[in-house]
Amino acid sequence: MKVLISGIGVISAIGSDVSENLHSLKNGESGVGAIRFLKTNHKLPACEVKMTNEELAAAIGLSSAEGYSRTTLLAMKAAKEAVENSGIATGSAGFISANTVGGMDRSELAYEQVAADQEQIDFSPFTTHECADSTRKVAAFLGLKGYQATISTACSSSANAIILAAKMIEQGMADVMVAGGVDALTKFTLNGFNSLMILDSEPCRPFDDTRKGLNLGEGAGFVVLESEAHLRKRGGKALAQLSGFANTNDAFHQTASSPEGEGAFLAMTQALKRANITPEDISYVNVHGTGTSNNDASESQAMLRIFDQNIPLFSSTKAFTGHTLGAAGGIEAVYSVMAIQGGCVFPNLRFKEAIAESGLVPQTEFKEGVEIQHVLSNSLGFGGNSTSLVISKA
Amino acid sequence: MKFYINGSAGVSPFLGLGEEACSIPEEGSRFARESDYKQVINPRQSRRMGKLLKMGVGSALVALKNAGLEKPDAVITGTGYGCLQDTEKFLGVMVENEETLLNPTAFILSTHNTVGGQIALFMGLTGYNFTYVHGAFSFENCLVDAQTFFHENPKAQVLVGGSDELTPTSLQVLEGLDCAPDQQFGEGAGFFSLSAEKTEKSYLAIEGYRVKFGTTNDESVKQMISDLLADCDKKEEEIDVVLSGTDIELAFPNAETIDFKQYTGVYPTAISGALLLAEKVLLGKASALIDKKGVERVLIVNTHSDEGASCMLVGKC
Amino acid sequence: MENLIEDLKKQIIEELNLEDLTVEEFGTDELLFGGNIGLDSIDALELIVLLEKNYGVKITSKEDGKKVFQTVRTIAEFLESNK
Repeated sequence: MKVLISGIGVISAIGSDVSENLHSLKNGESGVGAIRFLKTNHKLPACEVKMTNEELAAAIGLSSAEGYSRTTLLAMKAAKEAVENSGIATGSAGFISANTVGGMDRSELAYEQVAADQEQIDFSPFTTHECADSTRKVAAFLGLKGYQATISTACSSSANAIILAAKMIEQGMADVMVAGGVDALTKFTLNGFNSLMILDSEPCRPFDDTRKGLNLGEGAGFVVLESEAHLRKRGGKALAQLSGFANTNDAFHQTASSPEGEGAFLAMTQALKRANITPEDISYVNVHGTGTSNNDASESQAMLRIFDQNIPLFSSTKAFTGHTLGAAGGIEAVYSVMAIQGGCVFPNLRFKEAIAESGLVPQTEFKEGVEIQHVLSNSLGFGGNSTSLVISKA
Repeated sequence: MKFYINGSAGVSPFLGLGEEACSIPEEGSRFARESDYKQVINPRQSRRMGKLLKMGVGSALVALKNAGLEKPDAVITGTGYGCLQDTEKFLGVMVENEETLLNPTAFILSTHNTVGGQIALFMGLTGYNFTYVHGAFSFENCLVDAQTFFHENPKAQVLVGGSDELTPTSLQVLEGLDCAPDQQFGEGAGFFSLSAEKTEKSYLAIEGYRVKFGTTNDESVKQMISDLLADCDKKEEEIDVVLSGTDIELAFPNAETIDFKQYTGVYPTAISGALLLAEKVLLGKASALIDKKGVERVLIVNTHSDEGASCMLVGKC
Repeated sequence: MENLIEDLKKQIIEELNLEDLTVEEFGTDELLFGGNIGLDSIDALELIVLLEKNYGVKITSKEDGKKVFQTVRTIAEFLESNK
């Protein structure tokens, strides 16, 4: 059974909805900048969503942001857009979401009181700590009454959410599902990635030979997935088709990717097989491309193994959005649909020189008028988790 | 869907890793029984591991050994809270040192998929690997995913497991939130090697399960159980023991009903502990906890009023 | 220098949880990475934190770390030269 994408919603540092994101991607306007909202001592660049929690709440019609984590607010905003874009009746729809640190944006502040051993501690922010909190609140907010799941597989989380939803639809366990993921920027993740020494103190340069690391970002990206029968019956419109996917493990190191990119290679190979297409059929690859020395080198090797000398157009959009962790796969799935809709390829900003060992050159300018038949979108993460999605013209 | 159980292992307040029979949890203790993880994980590999990782990875390795399986085709794990010890450690140093001199190890190990990732790393598994973190229904999420995996790979062997840890700080927070349940908070890990087809190793089966989300009430939970019995073509009379994790009164003609959380403690993936307990009851290894003998079929029920409900039927095969 | 070497061994064993290794067995010229000690890239990051915390010496890149962290002796020599 065909799994179709009938709605998309996104919020990131380059815009609060699909049209704003598209505008920034077209015009090369990156979301990297000095940190404004997060209270941190670090002077690192990052990709914050340019809205306060109260502004986010107002944008989705909540009277106050009180009691909500930023994670939940971001997810509500993007999931609402996806649902509205598809025009589905939410009643029986399922919701498969993903994130890496749940409501850590509130927990890390409350933890200061615990660490200081204060006599009176306000424990209430911890109620939003667990990863499932945002999933439950978004489902309730949008009236999604079907199956629920929350996935946390590091940086591949939301791509995996899309996989589960697709499998359930293919197998007749559901007709329509909203799937994707979210993460808010937190001190916890900023300091975590800083302790790994993989944050660039300048705007990141994915796939460049002189790349120094990644910039963290925040945001959310969701798609509405539907069975062909369900879409037809309600007279909805398909934006694209999810034609293939695969989840594999690199089984190499807890945080680093293998030099030959085994996990990514297996994921891409199996996703192509599932879509019943060959590497030559791929029009565009939205690479994981974090901008770290290790990821981009490893992913390059995996691409060379798949495509050999016929590398398709490819780019990392993380130079725009930063690495949004649990949201990355969802946001990039939305961008993949936008590439198909617009017949365009988004630029890989700040690239100058190819990585010496691989020589791969990404698309550096916004390119229009391209027939995009199949997009391959990669998401790779800690714990060796590797996921590829194939998104195709419906 | 029916799942055959081919091997299992776990730790809980009522069970130590690798122990055959259940014991009465120590008075006042909320923690999983002390286990010697060095027997299963070599010290070099376990040197960085916190409690959750030792419980989860240790249980996974023993479950696979019991199933006589070197390489499962998929690893699907669930955890409500993830690696709390490492999360707290990193947060603690971050606050104390004002965002300087932070050890990366605690951060690396704090991600929720560390248990699944480490299992893949130790055993060289490049296959399907998912981690579910949907609160009290994380383990149920694993079963649903296992079902989708078996649908595509009927001959596969899938490792599923749930694990959660309790730390002094998480206990302080849980008590501070005043969400104290009737039973004590707890922790544990339960891992199961499953197949959709009966193998020579199969000794028990999850005959069926149901899960639903959203607000529940007496009626909807009872309906869910009737639906499950209908799925499995079983009658109420055929249930010998109910392991209940719900306030809803459940009475079946021939069943003894037991609140499983008095043995597992209260934690998000406690239902994986209840499944371990069901196994022991069916295998006659739970006499320290439950009097009933000759048990053929156990019903497990799990409800969380605003979030959802699930039930599972486990029997001999 | 000898005291420094002994201190470093103790700190490395403790900080990296090398429970199966004693100070006596820990060869001063033994390779930390790739040899019997078998440290990995996460340990390298931990060593950077250890040196900054205990000796106030900052290593800012992984490449510098590679040169310094060959053996306990190379670390000790680096610390001596940075006093």
